Amino acid sequence: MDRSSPAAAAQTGSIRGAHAPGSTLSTGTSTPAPPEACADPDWRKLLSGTPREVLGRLVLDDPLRVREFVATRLRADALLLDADRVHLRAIARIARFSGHYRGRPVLRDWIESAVVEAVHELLREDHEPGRGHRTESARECRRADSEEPGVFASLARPLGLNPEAMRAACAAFNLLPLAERSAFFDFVLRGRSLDEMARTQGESATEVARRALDAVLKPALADEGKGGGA
Amino acid sequence: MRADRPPGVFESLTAPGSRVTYAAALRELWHVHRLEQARLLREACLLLCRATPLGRLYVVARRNASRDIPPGDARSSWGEACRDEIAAARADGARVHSLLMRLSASPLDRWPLASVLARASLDLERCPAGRLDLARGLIAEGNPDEAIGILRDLLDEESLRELRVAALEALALAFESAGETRRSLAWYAATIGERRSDLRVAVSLLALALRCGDAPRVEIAARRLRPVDLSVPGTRMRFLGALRLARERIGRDRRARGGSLSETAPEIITRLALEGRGAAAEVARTLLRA
Repeated sequence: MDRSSPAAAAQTGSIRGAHAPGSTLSTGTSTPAPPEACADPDWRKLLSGTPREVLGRLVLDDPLRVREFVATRLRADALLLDADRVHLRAIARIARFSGHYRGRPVLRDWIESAVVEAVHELLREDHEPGRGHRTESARECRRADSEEPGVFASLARPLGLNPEAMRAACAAFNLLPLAERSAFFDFVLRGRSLDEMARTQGESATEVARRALDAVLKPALADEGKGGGA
Repeated sequence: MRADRPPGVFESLTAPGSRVTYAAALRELWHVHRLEQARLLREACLLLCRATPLGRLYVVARRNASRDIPPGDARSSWGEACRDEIAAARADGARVHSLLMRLSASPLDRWPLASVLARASLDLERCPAGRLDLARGLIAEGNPDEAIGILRDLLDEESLRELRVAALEALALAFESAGETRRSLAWYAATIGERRSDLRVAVSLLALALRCGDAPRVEIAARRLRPVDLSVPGTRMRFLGALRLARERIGRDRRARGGSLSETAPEIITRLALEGRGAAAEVARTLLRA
């Protein structure tokens, strides 16, 4: 099983349920412990009505704790995706297919599969031609909805990059093998020491550092290659 | 040793604190409706491929898609999903693609061409799966050249990932339907080299390679088939299904182009047929009988 693809992993079925012919969706690789808080919400009440009505309930106070599932999944798969974007897609999917849920699989597995499908879709959309239009409209939405700057703008500013370059770098990063992404996450984002990582993984510090460095350099080199060819 | 990092900024990517609003969520719901409608159009394209003589032979849909479901059931379960989407989209104030409404109200034989459905799905969502299904639709309509162009472009893309094997197999089938046997063999061999290629690829490669007397590719396919245990009922069924289609494709090609076995083929086929009871030998024996 390809651990580098968050979508090619532990199969728990699709959020669509029995209605959809040919559903081929899957869940994430490392199966982190899902948040427990949604273990016993009154799902019948939450998930009844039209998708739009369900969505209204899910946005308010996040009763299914979808945001925690999103954070857990992104960390487990070491992905640099905008968590707000994943959260939005996941609750939209949960709302859309809420009418198909009959209590099986258990609610947390069903939510988990919605999050994994959301991640899978967004990773794919990041690499589709013509995605700029959607990104622009998403940016406009965000500006209209909130005074908060976009996540890529927040990330790019201290590094002296523009948000679009940061977005492209993150999209390229997300295509790397899981081992490289994880090394980068642990070393750079979580600030773990090389010695500590080497001890945990039973590898040399040099090897761990090489993987973390690959995660930084490969997307940059690929970008340079594209620029040179243009 | 510890890396310097910008304090806190990266955490915003995975932070647990949500900033989503209802307005943004509603727009996302409409987008999900759009994606679902695109998916339904792709499924409709595959249903239609299955209903055409060329599509039945040269279009291999996703492994767990509708191929193993009786056509009537597949159409009916697609119709149910379609009506569900139309009702949900209307209730949510989302747009419903006009073609989807037409399809849900008409029998399969009144539907437009498979490629029209695939193009409509691409208007809603431009994704590799849609382009792959467009290529499949074109193959089913007897236009393999355009399909080949689409599949070649698709295979050039770095981010293709899980669809790569399906695209490789579709390209091999497109060349086979065009009568370009050598190229078809090369792409079947490329497909079999991928980690997740299906048993049917090995069967297709072996049948075609045997017919052409292509000993190296016979060996590649036979090596893949030798460990296959045909006493497992599911495996045997998949094997026999793949073998039947491979034989029908060869029969169609023979009728259409009048081709016959290459000079070296009979000897290679006979040698393999005598190998015993394995899957590769069974393919060879089937060709001997054909």
